[in-house]
Amino acid sequence: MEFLGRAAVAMVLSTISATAFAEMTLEERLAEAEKRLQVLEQQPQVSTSLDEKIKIDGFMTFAMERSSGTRSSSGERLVFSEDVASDEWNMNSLTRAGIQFSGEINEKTEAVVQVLGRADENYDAGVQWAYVSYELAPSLKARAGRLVLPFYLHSQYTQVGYAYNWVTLPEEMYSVIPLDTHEGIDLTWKLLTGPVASSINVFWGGMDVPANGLQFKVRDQHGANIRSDAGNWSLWYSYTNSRVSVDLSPLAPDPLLVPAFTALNMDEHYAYFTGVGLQYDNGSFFTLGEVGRLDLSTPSHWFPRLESAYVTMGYRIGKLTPQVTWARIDHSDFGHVDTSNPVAPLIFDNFADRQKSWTFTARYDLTPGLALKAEVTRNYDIGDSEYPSKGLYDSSCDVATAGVGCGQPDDDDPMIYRLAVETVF
Amino acid sequence: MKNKMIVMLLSLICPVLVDAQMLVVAASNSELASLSESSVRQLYMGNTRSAGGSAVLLLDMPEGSTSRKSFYRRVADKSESQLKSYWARMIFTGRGTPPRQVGSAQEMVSTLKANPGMLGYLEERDLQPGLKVLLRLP
Repeated sequence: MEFLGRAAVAMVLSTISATAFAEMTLEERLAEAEKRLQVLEQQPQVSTSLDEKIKIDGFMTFAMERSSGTRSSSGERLVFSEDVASDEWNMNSLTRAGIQFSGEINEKTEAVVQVLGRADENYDAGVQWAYVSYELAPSLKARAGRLVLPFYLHSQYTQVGYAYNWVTLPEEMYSVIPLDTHEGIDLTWKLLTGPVASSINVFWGGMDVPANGLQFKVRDQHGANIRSDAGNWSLWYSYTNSRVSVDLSPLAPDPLLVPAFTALNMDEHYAYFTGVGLQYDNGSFFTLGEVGRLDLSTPSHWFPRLESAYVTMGYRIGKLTPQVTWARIDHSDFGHVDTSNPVAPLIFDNFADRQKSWTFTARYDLTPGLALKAEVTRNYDIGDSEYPSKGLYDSSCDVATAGVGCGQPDDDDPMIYRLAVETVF
Repeated sequence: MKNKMIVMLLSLICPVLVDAQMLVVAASNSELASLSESSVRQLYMGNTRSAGGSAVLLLDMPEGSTSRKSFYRRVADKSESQLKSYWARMIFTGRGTPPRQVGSAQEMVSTLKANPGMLGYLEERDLQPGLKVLLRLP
């Protein structure tokens, strides 16, 4: 900018003709130049040009992950959390890029479209967000369109790796619900009460979600969440309720079993999720944690109650941020399963995840907007003698037999390694 | 030699220490009389867009400048990288957009003078007549 100033002086000086200069003393010349500079400065410099009407922001993650080649006791290769398949580096599963366009329609109305492409889907771009927002009052905003579901503390920016320290958000918590967006409307109210800044959000919508070879119809998905920030503390609470329908017959491994599966179909059954999060961050030291509970009211009670939790602690040493995370997922309510339908306990087993993990992450902020990350996860306590869960591991064997007889991970140290380059621009 | 290595290592991992008196300023004909540190924090962190009952537009110093670094260190205890990641969260969830950046202290002064509805910050030495100090950051 100093350069611009000098350029301006040069321009001003050049507008004064050489002959005039010849007749002026140096002081007069300077005074003249200064006078013209002042005139230039007083012109309003606020531009309402196109670049302020449409804003483009982007993010990109290049990441790779591998497992320690975990197999089941029957020798079947196990896939962790649907992604980490083998002991070779997989560069596709986490690599992704997104671009967000925000267009100002008028002072109160804005349209936002966020397009996301994933390497494992050959960068076929899908729309993550697409909504129109309208400011009803300075602190009250309504949005309509495709919105990201606010289940968790970090769920609204799960794709923007730069915004958090992990390479992957704790799987025990963030991989439980297979949907992340829906079509709907929401209302956000921001309020300030003394030092506490809160944001209260209510939403309503629905979505069709393909997951595990099934087609889930989610209707009347509604809920509320509150986020409060006070000083170094942040508190998060969310509650969601919806009606879910799903036909389970595609899971039947044999046509003879189809009636037993369809007897368990969900037909507008209720699903509930509650999440609570707490965060402390004083600029150097930070700690955060979340707990969540998912309940589905299913016929014969074939879906377990799933409870997830994690705690993270870290310290920023200049550009380097090491952090450690402990996470767990566990299930309950096996006692409620109606065993008169033999399929019900089998499906229950397939969803009854249980495992714990320690994750060590190091983030290095190369420059604002660019970060490098390395992460090691060790999964443990996967099931017990009473209840042999597979943790978050699956195998092709599970799909063929609805999870019967594939066995638990047979590995003393089931590890996951991840590396990432994250950027926002 | 060993000491040199230690200094080099420290300078690699420690943020640059900056120390200049920062002032939150507006045009002298601005409706605002003064601001508390917490309301400056709420404004610059995007939690609110109004102060003293009326909407304000915020100006920011350029990314990488020492004024910006020391301003945010004082107001929000955040480094440039932390700010970037904070705003990534706000932008990509539609919760807010960062303040508009000016090119220099000079541009900050002239833009503020021409727009009484705007708010900015400066180092003490860049203060000029025609501006009003709303808060002195310790």
